[in-house]
Amino acid sequence: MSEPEPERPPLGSWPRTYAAVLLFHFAWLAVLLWVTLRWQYGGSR
Amino acid sequence: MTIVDWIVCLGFLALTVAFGVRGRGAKTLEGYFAGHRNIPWWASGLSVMATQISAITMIGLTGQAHEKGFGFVHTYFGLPIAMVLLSIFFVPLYRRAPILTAYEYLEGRFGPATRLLTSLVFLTSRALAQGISFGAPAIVLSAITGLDPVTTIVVAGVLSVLCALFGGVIAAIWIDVQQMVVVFVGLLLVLALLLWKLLPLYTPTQMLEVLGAAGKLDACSVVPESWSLVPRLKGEGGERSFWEFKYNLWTGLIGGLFMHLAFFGCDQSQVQRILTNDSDGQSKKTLLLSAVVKLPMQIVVLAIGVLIWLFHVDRGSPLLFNPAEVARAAAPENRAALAPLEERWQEVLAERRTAARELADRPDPATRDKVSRLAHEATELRGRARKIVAKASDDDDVNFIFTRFILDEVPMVALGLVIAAIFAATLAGSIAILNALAASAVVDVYARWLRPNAGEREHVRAGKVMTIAIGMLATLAAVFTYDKGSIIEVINMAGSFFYGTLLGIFVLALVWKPAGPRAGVVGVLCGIASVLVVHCTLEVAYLWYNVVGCLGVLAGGIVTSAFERRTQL
Repeated sequence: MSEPEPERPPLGSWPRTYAAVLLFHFAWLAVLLWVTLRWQYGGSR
Repeated sequence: MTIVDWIVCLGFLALTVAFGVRGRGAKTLEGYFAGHRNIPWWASGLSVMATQISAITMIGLTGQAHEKGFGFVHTYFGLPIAMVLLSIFFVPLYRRAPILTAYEYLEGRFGPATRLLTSLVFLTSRALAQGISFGAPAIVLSAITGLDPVTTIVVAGVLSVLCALFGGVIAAIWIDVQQMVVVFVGLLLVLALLLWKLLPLYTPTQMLEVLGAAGKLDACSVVPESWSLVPRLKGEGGERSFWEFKYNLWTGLIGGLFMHLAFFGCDQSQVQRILTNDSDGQSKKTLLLSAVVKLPMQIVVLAIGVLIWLFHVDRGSPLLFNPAEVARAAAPENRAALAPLEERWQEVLAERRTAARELADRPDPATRDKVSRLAHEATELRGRARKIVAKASDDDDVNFIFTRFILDEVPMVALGLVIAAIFAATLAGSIAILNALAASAVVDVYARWLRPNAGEREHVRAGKVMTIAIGMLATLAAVFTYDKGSIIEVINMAGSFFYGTLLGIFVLALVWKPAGPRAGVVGVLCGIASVLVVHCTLEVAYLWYNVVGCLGVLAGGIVTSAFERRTQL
């Protein structure tokens, strides 16, 4: 039931789009980490 | 609710249903199940997002944030990574041929048996879960509107079937779009209302100080509660292992990644969205919209929950929120047991308000500890009160925190709109699942095995009959189970058994070229078996079942493919 290997379309600008999406996501994670460390575990201590 | 709210609510609902039953896509299978493949990416993208922000999640999440803070946000940490991986590997796979269901692809790769098996796995698990999706919001809606829960369920069921019947996937997507616009506007309005009420009392820094002291800002927990990587046996005592905790960075990134890969990549109700676009690029954008918007949106939802908590710190709040429990608390047999709790509750509220004010004005460790202690005592008192009055059949008390807030604080007209949005969210989710279930039942089972030679017209008719049948069954299931908490839990758990297996078979197709028909079937069976074994023997959080199921399929498939090759040689 194996199928013929399809031709791969050119990647175009998609790799840059994926990188931007992931960068945006990890920037949010950094903000959440900062809020947690600064206010949940830091605060007035 | 006032008469004006009722008019706004019913008017909005009538518009939603009229929108759904216009019958634009009901003539051909491709129209009914794939929207003629010309849906724009932003519409299908909003629709993908809408399925994860159903009525009950919007209400339940704000309530959960009110009680436990930001912890739930960890669940979404793996989502954008999953969407990028699905765009790279799964979208080209699904768009290679004009398929109507995700499982159709598997026939080309592994043969008809694997396709039938996976579509049956999907049909069984989602049909069971569909009953709940009618039931849970109906309880909350009936508490707000005063209508009987069964009436609410039946109305939601009939309207969903009507929209799904006449509009197919096109109705599902456009109602989702309408719902998402209302949800965005509604959430921003509630957030603005909260900030308008809180900013005169606290600066943003003071808000963070008080919320942090109360333990509500655990938004990115890097250190898990346990580093013990050896899972405990079922019922075994001792220290809990890493695998039992849901809310930390690692479980969110890895467990969440597998969960979202399985949900968005292998559940027909989601895959159907990317099959409605006209190109690979459009389908990728459909998925990437969620990758960008979903996490910030969940942060807003959870922020609303913790800000309602802060609002309650200043204005006070009842000991119980669920109207059924409040009524039971007033009964003579419970009044005596609750009196000391109620008395202490009022003291804690007063002390908490003063301590929070002090902390905001003059932050120091002693006041911080005091706010923390009082916040925990308040949570404990609510837990004790619930133990006295709650029944197993009660909907979770946290589901009524958001609704109580909007009933008390949101002005007239907007209230009617918010209630209508909650009801429309229930409809939108149900229409999408009904159409996805009908698609798989007709395309993967009826048209493939029972009536392969029948014309397209008969297949479309079968799709409509299936939509009515599944809708009726789901409505009946909801009517009989909405007040039986334990059954709902079992069904929810059963759903989580299968997602990892569905993901596993697609990953096997992608990464292990030698795997053939036998490897596909054995892989699926091994996936289900491995989750069952782990569930029966080990203490592991459900989130990890997706990883276990996926690895089970890969192990079973790869080993079987070695024997397959040997017999071929």
